[in-house]
Amino acid sequence: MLHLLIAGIVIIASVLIFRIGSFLYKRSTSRHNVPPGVVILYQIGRGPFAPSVSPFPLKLETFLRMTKTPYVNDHSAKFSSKRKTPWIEYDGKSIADSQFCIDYIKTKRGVDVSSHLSPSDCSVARAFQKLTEENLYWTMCIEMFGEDTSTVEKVIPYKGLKLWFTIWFLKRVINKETWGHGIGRHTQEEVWSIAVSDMTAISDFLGDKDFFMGPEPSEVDCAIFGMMAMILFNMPDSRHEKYVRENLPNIVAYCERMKRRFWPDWESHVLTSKKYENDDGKIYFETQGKDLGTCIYS
Amino acid sequence: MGAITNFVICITAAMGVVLITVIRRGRKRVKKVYPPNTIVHHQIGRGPYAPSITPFALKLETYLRMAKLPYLNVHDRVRSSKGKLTWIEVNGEEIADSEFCIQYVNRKFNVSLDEGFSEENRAAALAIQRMVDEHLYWTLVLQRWVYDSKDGINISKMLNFPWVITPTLRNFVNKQSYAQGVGRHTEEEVHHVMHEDLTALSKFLGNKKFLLGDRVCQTDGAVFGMLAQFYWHSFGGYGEKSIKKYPNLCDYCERMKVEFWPDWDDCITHGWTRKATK
Repeated sequence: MLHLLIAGIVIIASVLIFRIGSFLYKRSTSRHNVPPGVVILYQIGRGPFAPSVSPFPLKLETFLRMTKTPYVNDHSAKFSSKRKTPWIEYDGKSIADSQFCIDYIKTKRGVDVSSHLSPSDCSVARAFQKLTEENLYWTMCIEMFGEDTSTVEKVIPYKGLKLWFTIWFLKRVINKETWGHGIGRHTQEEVWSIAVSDMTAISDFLGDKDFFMGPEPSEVDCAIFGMMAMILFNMPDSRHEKYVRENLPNIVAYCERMKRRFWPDWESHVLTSKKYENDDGKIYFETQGKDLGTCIYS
Repeated sequence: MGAITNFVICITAAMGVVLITVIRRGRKRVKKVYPPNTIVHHQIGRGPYAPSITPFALKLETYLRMAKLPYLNVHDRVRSSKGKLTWIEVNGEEIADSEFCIQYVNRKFNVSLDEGFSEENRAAALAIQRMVDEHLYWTLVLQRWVYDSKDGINISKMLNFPWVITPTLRNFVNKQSYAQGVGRHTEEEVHHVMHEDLTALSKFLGNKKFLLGDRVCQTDGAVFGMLAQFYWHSFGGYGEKSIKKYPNLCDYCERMKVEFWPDWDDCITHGWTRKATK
């Protein structure tokens, strides 16, 4: 009897470890055959209130749309070699990290949506991207995965044990990451004060401009929009969402503007919308590929 | 044989670190009495070629000088409540984290170096501070603690600490930077993003005397604290070679040194050849 019990536990544990390992570590074999010059964008699937539950896939996909780069989505939720998502495959080469993906596409296809900016403007754009992704982002993680996870439970499109496990796992990861980063050592109120400073700075710099750097969009808009959309659509009833809606109306208007410009089909990519359509494998901007040479990212 | 020796050394070093930490924690922190309304800046000892080997202590002390605030230094290794080595106390109240320290002294002493700059410029300066402290910083620590040894730089000798601790520190930096994200990149990729940040700083500064013009803003402390590490504390390594590609950033470092550290020579150890007198 005891032997059977032990065998049972070992089998269940092995299956669990295998499944968790597959989820985290198995690299996707290409599920889509695409013509040359078409980017395969691997991401974790659509969200209930926005085309992604994470700011980085939204940033990357907005960039692809802004530059009209031919691309196809793979929503199979596999992770890159850096254990991160999103990532891309372009003509057989895999690139991890959303910003490296963007830099790779810019080099390979010769596109630059920030060419109209002055050198000083490019600097400010980079600085704000870092403020958003290396600082504000962590305050949002701490807010979502702190004591009260009711907000994140509304957004992660899983149920039951899978939802519980995902939240438990992400909480552990985020605690570790924010401690290593440094911001996790602050109190909740100190983190909130950092968040307010960052969101206010974004609003102050945006002012009454149509896009972040001026009347025309540029690359940084992808990062800013990705993060602001996260706050407005994927953090319902959170402090961040309430603060932006009540105090920073220009950010709300900016997000609507970006949606109209680059996501006229937004509703088709939102799981809870009646217009939702699964676009896994659908090619956007199908055209001749343009390859301009080598890039350091491989 | 070599691998076993290295393993034994690492284990011994780790045990030594643990022992020292436990002993230190066991000692009760004796509360000293300092002059009232004076900022007591706790930081590690002076550096070999710049007043600190840590960008945040140099940032904070430079800021106190920029704002002409009354302060004194206590060079100790007592950690803040957040486990970090740079913190302040004012009238017995302890504040950790360099940015929170700056915000605290601004409120307490009614200081605002950013007053008079436009809202847009102040916002841009905040973004520059985030880029420098939350991103460029990680490229610096990876270069200093992980990559430089491959280029033959003996960092323990350069920074004057026991060499047995180096593997532990390196491991620590690898873990922290992996958690933060930059540490997941290859060395080439880290160098690339380091250059992107330095290029952005250089283009933002342009021909200006300081970040936002002819007078300093709050963020000049942060930028100087970080760039000083590249300029003076990279010991001929990749960090130093990188910043030297941006002459205006080098000139900026020299300018900040002249403006706010006229006593620089008294605040460094000159390559550990003498004690800093201040």
